[in-house]
Amino acid sequence: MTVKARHRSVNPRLGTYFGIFASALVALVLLLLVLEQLGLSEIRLRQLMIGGPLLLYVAIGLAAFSNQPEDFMVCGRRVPEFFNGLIVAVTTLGGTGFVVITGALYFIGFDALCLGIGLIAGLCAMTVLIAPYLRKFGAYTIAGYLGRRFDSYPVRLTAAALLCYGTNHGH
Amino acid sequence: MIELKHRKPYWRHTKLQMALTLVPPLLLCLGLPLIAERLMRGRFLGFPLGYFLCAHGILVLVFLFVAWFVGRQDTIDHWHGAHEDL
Repeated sequence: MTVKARHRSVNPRLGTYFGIFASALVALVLLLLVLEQLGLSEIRLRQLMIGGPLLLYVAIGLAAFSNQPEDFMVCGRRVPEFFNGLIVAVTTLGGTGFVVITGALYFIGFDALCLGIGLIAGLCAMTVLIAPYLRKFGAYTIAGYLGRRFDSYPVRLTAAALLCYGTNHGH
Repeated sequence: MIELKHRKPYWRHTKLQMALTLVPPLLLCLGLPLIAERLMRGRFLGFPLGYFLCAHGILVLVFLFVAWFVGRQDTIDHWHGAHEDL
């Protein structure tokens, strides 16, 4: 099975959107600094620090609503490949991974580097052995690949469930 | 779509590139932590050299290997007519 060739250009306003988003985050941090000096309680500051960006993400998600897999997995192919790769790498590590590796390094020390080194080795193996062939097949995930390869929705569902289970237990 | 007569040379080329990309980072990931203790005497930007190489050096080197692999594999695909531009 080959992937149909199509052309998608990078969004020309990408820099503007990123600038707006980055400015909003910087403005939030400055606002919190001001509020801290004015005596706002620590609990409220934490709630604003977490809730503010969360509201921003919800607003972006609603404004740019999409139910296309291409928009979720590869940003609609309107973002340069380098940034797409960064997003995939960060998603693979996950929010839990950030906290886990930081905490492990803090408590265990040098020996906890095995987590980071293992992750790097795994990403390298994935880039060489799996990613190019998934891309050529036209699938975005292993579950999607298996479902299309064997033309079976139950296989796809089972693979997705096993991956979710493995990811949750891995963290 | 790649022609039948080009498939064997294409896969031979791809397998070699795959091995050249996977084996050195694997040796790096396994070997560098083993010699890290001996490198701790050195310093880089104030950090112990062994620790810095394991934390950042491996990451930078593997990134360079992967970037090299992407460029080379793209060239191999174009050479054998197996490229599919999206």
